[in-house]
Amino acid sequence: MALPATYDFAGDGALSASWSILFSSNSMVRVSGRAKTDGVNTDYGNFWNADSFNADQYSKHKYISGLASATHYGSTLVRASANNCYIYEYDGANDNRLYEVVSGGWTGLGSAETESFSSGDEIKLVVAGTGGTFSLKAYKNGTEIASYTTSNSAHTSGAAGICAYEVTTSDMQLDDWEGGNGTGAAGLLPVLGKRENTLLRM
Amino acid sequence: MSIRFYLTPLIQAGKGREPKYFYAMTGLWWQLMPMGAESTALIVADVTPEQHAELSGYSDVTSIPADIDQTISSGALSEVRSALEGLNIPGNWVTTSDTYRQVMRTVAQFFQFIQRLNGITPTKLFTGRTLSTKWSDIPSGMRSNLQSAAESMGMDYSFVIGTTTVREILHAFADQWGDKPIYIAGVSL
Repeated sequence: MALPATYDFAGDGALSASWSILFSSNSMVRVSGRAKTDGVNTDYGNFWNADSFNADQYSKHKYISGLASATHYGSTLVRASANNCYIYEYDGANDNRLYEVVSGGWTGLGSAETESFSSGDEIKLVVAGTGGTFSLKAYKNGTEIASYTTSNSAHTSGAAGICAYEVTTSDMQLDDWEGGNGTGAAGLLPVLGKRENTLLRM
Repeated sequence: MSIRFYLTPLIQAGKGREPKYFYAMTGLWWQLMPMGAESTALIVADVTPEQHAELSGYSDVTSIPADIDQTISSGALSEVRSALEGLNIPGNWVTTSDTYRQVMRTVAQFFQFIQRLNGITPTKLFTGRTLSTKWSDIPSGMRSNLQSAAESMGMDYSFVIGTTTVREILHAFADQWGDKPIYIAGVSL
């Protein structure tokens, strides 16, 4: 296959063999053409294995329904391998966060932000650079909504993916995933040379 | 509000590890650089005077002066060194000719290496080891992980012999970072 990769979650049942499981055996599933969790109280996530991604990559999907404050989350993730990734997790209320996940352990990279989401919104996470020039940026419909501009050397490679979490009924629905190299759009490249002495707020 | 830098413990809260005290402060903006799997982070926060007074009052939070371009006074040198060493961060190299920005830059360079190490192994470097632990006393598996981390970052570890300490290794790797950029919350260190 060639990047960008796309997946529309059509039909019902397990995801295709092009997906690997992010955590343990907790794979997302297809239900009536949507991506959903397969249970509650744990993260269900997958990353694309049918293509090799560059270090600078993006992952995006459409949010459909189910978000609830501090209980129901959608997530988009980059540089993923089993138990590892950078992830933007959103509840559409007061707990939208960027994390690094290393060997299954989550670390919040910055304070939570408030952002609401509507059905059909496109949520994208872009990772660029490694070590000193690392950055993570999250977008809603092309507008930056979260940014992490702190050097990071935890993950230097991996794949793009998708994840969801909910604590009660399984009603989180995501759709239309795409992952690829670069930013996935013109004009979103970080301008690292202009960051010096500038505090960028998430 | 003002931008301040701190070294703070990471604790288990919410989804995973979060900065102690900062995480619970409603409305506080912050961004952190974790020390890999170790329970310490360099953090920048936009604090009110009251928030700074509270945070700097905690014995396990190290507050960096607001003017990070001032040199470290002779009176503060011992405190800075011991604060770093107490967190398993090499600190004995700090002198009164260093600014706080330079110290934070070197600390951030230490953290970058430990982050890379943590990306290779979930085992903490400082479980059962200290800055004074000699290379020959590190188990072969962790030695291999340290070498892999160094290689992946283009670091030269040919200087390491059996008596080389963790402190010396980390400091050498920080030096090898050279002039490459390093940022926290977009601030160049």
